[in-house]
Amino acid sequence: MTAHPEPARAIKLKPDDTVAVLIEGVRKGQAVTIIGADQTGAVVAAEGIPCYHKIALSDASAGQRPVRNGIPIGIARTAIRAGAWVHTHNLESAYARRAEGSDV
Amino acid sequence: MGRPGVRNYLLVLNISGLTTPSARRIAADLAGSRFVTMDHGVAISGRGEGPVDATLESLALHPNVGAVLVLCAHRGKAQALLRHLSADPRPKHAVTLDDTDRDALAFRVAGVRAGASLIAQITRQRRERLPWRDLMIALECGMSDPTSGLAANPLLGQVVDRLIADGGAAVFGETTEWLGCEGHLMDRAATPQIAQQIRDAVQRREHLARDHGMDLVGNNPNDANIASGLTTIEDKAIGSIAKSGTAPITAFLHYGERLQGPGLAAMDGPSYTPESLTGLVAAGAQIALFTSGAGNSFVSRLAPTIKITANAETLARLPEHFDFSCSAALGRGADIAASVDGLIDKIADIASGARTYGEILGEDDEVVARFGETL
Repeated sequence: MTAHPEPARAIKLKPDDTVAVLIEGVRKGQAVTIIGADQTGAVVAAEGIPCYHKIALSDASAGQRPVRNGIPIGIARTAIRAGAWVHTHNLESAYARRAEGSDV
Repeated sequence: MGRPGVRNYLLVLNISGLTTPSARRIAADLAGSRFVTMDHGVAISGRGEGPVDATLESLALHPNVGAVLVLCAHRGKAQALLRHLSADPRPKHAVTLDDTDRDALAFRVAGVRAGASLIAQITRQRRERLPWRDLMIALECGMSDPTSGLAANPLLGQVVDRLIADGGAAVFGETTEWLGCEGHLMDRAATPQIAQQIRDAVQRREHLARDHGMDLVGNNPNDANIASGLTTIEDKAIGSIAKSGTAPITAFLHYGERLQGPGLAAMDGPSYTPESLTGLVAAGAQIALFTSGAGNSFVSRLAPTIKITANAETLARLPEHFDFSCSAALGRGADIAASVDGLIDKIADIASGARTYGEILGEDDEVVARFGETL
């Protein structure tokens, strides 16, 4: 295995966003540069993540609501570490919960 | 008078399922005509025939329609539609099976003769130069991926902001794709009544899903959306509503209802592309802007539909599918300002007669939404 020569890029839209969208696929351990309107920073991919999927920018505990473009996109099913892939395995809709009648 | 058209079609409007086979042949015999059919429309339970009839009426009054040939089994039903259209000056004619003593062959001949005369009348008209504020644009997305929400839909938002500021009009719908964002849409409502209508529409469809045990996951977002990187309905909705830009929402429309006057309208409608697009176009949009991430070939039959993607891989895979690309915006951190003028130029080209790939390849139809079971 050789390290990827270039950091991948991920788009963060709003300052308070806790997830960004990768515009290249990444491998575990690969550096990711954050781009977007006035957004800067970096994160290391904790696992392989496909292109256009989401990467966590900060740690979240189960039940927290990851934010994209300033709006919550669902509820974390499990703890999510910074650098982790955020997808349907660890994120569920607040509305699907209501549709199933399990919401209070 | 209503909005000017960017096309000038004879609409062959078939409004009974009994006549559909003959009506298809009639339209095929009339070169350049546009065929729209409603095979259902009798004895509909629940909300009844009203929403269907209203949508058909809106389609008959569409700006890109120059004349209307109504085809139906029943004379009374066809005449009722013509009466509703009587204030409109466009030439219209109805042919029914009642007129031909149930003879489908005679019906075919009568339909072709009437349609030929109508086309001869409307093709005498010529294009005129008009300001772009005369445009109304329908905003649609289908087979979205994360690039849609990051760049393609925000591009539509900026174009629409400019059109609305200049006195034009636009309409967006896909009510389930307001879930999680309805508060932001309500904040943009021009009146408390519109805000309430937006909230009620979202809640009605959410309850519809819950009461019928429908899980939105896998449905909306669908499996292709999820495989491409979208996660929840609210994740998809954030990208979807970006199409509507930032202008105040000055009208709320029911499915297929026509927008009178300028401004930005929210339409309560289904999210499935064929039904959604027909409802939006029926509102009076001469042109549709349609974004896609993975590719979605469906276009409106009455409104030239400009296909737009921000996904470079999809564009390379489907070169005769997309009319406009803004994929370079992703590398700029989703800054789409540089693409706004280019898309407006493309709209002007298409409005002036250049054809979209959807028009060239004939991937068009109109599909009126369903409102209830037939008794």
